[in-house]
Amino acid sequence: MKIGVDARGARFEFDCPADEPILFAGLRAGIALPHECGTGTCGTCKAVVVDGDVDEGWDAAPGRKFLKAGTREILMCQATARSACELQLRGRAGPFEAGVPVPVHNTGRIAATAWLNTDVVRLEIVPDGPMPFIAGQFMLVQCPDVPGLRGWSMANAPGDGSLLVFTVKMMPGGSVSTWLRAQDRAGTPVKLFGPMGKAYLRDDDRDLVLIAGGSGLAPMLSILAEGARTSRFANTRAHLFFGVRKAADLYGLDDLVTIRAAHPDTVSVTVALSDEDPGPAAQQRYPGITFAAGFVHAVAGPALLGKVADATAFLAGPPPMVDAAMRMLIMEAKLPPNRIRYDKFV
Amino acid sequence: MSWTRVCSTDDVADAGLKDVEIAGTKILVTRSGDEFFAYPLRCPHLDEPLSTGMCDGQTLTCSFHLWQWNLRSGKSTGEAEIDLLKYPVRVSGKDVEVDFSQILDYD
Repeated sequence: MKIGVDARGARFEFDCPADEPILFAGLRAGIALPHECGTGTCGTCKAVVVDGDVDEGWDAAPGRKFLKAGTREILMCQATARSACELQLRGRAGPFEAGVPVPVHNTGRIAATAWLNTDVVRLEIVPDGPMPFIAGQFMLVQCPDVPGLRGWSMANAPGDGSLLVFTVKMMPGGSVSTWLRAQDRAGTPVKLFGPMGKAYLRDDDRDLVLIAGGSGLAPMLSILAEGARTSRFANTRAHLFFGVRKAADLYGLDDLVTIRAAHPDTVSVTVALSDEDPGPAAQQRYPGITFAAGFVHAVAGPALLGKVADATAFLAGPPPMVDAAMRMLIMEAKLPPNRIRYDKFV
Repeated sequence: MSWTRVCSTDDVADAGLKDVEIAGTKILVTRSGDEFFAYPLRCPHLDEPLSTGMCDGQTLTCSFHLWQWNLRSGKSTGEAEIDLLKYPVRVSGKDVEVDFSQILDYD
């Protein structure tokens, strides 16, 4: 099907197979259509159907709450075309930024799994053919027998894209969580689409502020690993703040100890526990990491004050944490919005 | 002009963001010092409520994608791709009054 898109006066056209979400076909064609989660939740990919016939897809998609009743608005990540269509966007679209990989469909298999704590499992997925990505990006993964795609950030340095490492946090009652807990899934084939996400590391000389909550540590691990690999931290700084509720929720700290030990003058790592006092044992176990009590944005705020006006900030984690950290960075640290990077998954 | 009272001057703190609904029309009332401003409540980007945004008395920031506007003019200060539409406002004693003779919408 031929899809025409009007994005504030600029016109784009691409072909869309009947069974593929319109967003994915457009992205594959190299058109950076507005989107964030790619999984029906954030609402960012909404568009008005001006002409043509679409199947709107998942009728319970949470992102449908952003659609106006009585209009022909759709979520492009859910809708498929039944005929040639003309769509209109509120925001802008354009080509992908130079150097940013255009997403593709692929298959792959879970090569190895390892539980990092009782709720976080590390998955190594080997795609059938490399999927280049930039540190900070995420992939949409479909596990067999579980409907729908999940957006997971890569936790490793990109390399040539032949290995994708994820740290997946279990959601109580979640269907993928139940599937992952049921047995070791090493060897299982999966479907992949990506890479996605605009919260990726730019090749510049700005200091980095990385604020992560819970499952949001994954992209920060990727950014730190890539920064270490490219000698970025020889002369620029990175301040990582990682917040969880309790010490039992922590993971990835051994990697952080290693990165920090290699860059003691430029990389700082602070772990914030919101629901318990860290105590001296954690401090001894993880040398070089600073432990604090409180919510991660509240711990980060005073530590960053006056130090980071020229930095780029990356945020990832539960929405209330991302929102609180964003407010702190804009209202207190006075960071301009174009230097705060995050992808809304919810 | 036809002026409708939307709230008291005491209802909006300095640099505050207040959502008000008058006869089905939802607006955002903001304040910088003794000046008051009124805009459609929904962000021109994706209709998020601007009352959950951030304001320092000079700049209004939507909390969803960090689009920013000059609080006084509603003009984009960079990231925002669409300027805010602005309602006429006057202060009469302690009453903040808005002219709704033209309902503003982005579509």
